[in-house]
Amino acid sequence: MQAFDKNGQEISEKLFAPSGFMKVDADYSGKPYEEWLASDWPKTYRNPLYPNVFAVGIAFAPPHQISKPRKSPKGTLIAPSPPRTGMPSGIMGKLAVISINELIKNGPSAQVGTASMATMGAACVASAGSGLRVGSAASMTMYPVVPDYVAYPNTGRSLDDTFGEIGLAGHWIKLALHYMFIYKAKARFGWFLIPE
Amino acid sequence: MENPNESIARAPLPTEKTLRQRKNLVIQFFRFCSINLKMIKMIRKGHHPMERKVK
Repeated sequence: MQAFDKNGQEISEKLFAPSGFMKVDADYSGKPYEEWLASDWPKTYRNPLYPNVFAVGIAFAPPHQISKPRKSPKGTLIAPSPPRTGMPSGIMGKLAVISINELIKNGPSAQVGTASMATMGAACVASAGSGLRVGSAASMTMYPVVPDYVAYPNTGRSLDDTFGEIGLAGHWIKLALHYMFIYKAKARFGWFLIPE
Repeated sequence: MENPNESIARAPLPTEKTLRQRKNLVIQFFRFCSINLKMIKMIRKGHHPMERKVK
């Protein structure tokens, strides 16, 4: 992707990382694995040079992977990236909308909120069979999405809030979420109480 | 290096009892309540995008 300023000058390198994703307020210094910190991850999702430009979800460039880079026996690099769709993208999108609202109301000096992936959790329910009595789904949560080895020294995650299990209950949760998200999308009464 | 197929073959499988529990309506009702509470707790902990404001 290419980007140009109002004078026709190419600004692609200022806006995008070599991977093609947009640079935001993250630490892109390319530190070695041993120096990675949870605070390297973006908080406001604004481009530092063009603060009126936001990139959320899969659009922003991650500063690095979320676990130690490894190689397969055949030499293929295994570089796990965090999940940036679903619940995390919903939270980031909401943050960007609220921030843009603040900027329109109060101008460039407005205070904007933060939503780092190192302080947000995510839940996922993966269907493994339908039917109210015989259905099955794997329910899992992870907190925080990006491991924080300073706050949680051994695993990088809160083990109270990180779990997974499979069973019929997961299918009921999946079904309930289906109707809840459609309700939210229609902006019916109390829609804002339903999380992303 | 270990063959991945061998390590997959050695992975523990659920017992008959576990499989029955995963479909038991009473047990799963309690699991449904428990998982929902856990998810709500996790969401309340991490869903505060406007709390920490920066310029």
